[in-house]
Amino acid sequence: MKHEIKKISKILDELVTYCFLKHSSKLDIQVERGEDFFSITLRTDDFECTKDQLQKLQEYMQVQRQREIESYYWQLAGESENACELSLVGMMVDEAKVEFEEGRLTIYLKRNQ
Amino acid sequence: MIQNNTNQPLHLGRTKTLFILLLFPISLLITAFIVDDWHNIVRGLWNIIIRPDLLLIDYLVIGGIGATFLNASLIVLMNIFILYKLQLKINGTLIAALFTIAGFSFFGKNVLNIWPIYIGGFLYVRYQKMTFREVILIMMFGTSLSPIVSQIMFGFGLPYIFGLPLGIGAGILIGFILPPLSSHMLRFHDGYNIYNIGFTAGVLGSILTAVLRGFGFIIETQYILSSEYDLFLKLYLCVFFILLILVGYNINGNSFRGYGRFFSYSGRLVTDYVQLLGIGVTFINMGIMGLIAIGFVICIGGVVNGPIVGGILTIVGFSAFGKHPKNAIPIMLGVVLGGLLKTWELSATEVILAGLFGTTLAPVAGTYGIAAGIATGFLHLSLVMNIGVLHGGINLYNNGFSGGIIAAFVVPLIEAFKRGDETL
Repeated sequence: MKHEIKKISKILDELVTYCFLKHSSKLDIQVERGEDFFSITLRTDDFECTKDQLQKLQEYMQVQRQREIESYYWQLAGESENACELSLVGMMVDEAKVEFEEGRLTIYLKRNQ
Repeated sequence: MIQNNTNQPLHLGRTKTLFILLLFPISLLITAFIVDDWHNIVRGLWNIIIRPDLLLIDYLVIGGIGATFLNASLIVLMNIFILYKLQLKINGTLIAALFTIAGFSFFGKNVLNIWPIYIGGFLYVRYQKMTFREVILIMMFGTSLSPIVSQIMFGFGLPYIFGLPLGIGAGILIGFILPPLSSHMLRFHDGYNIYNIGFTAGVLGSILTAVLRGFGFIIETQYILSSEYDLFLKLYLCVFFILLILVGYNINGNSFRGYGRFFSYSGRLVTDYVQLLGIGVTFINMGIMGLIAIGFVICIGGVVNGPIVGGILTIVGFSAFGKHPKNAIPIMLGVVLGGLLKTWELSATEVILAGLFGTTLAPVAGTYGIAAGIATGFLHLSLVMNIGVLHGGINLYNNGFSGGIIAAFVVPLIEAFKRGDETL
């Protein structure tokens, strides 16, 4: 798919921005390039958010892949320095899992090519 | 149809959502043949097709109400059919695109001039080995430049043997280059201008117009507007918006539950309310925003004509994708303030259009507050009243063009004077 690597970079940019805005001080990110997919696993131990904000994060990530929106709007991901395009990230991935427990956040994303 | 006797929101499938969206074009189709006879309708539709469509040419004047309703109905039905065949899940963006197309089918888009742009998009996906569903959204919005097709075909006085292929060729070229351009242009305003294609089409249209003017062709904005269907259109649209609220209320478990959550979103691209809040409460927001838009026109003494219908329906569509009362009304107030203090008459169609379409800047008010929204609306009025000369009226989304420039100017300034980082 066109711009595939750049799209992965944009998703990472968005996630990093989001976590630092939520006062994370250390991020552990693993990106895997498979034969026909990319996967991203992000972990942080000092993530601060309210119950509502966590619910919104989960909603954003669960919106399902939408290629027509991705094709048009993908360049917006990671562009703003103080607001987030997490729902766009959700629309750019096929699988998303969000786990949060006592300040530890884990986000797993899988994007098929 | 759809019946919800529970207190829980219904999760409609793709087909049922499309079925609800079909109600509007079908009602237009039926109304066309109730209010007009078929001789007039056929003649009117022919007039709509063969006339140039530069801003602001009202199809209600050149085709009559029956033909205009039929034109809008056919275009929306054909687009719904395309969405159905492409098996797209109906989201807020597609609803916005459908209502935008419906609105502009009252002044500028017709059953002939939109298709070359779609063909251009089809050729682009073949060239890039993509699927058409990846660009359908851009094509639907991209028909904002369809007046250039009619203008070259019928407006320059060229013999049909040259005019027709040249017009079709120009439309295909536009459809071919819009996908990469429209995506790239988003970065200019960072998603604070909801009508991004309007900005893209404004840039592209200005270049095309400059080239055509260089060859001696004259492209100038027009001013043909109706006033005779004012009351009928107000009533028709009010009934439709109330029905939209009732349908949404029913789907939403016979309640307005969750409506307050709209106000927590800035509306900046990409904010898809269908995905985030559900289809029922989104229909409620669309109906409420439609009534607010009509109320705005009435309050400042405006007449509802084709372009104003376009403005109202576009607001309704984008109320599934970014707009809500809290972020849209400050922009409208800013335009009204500008209309009161500047040289233009407040009830003039262009000023009302600036108030309606100016809500493309709703994310600025949604992000930075009411005062920023009012100031932005105030600035937008001045720019939009002067920018049409650049593209000569071939870009129907003139406010989207202006909105892109205003957003790119205002947002960095606000950011520069803001303290600290804002968290989501």
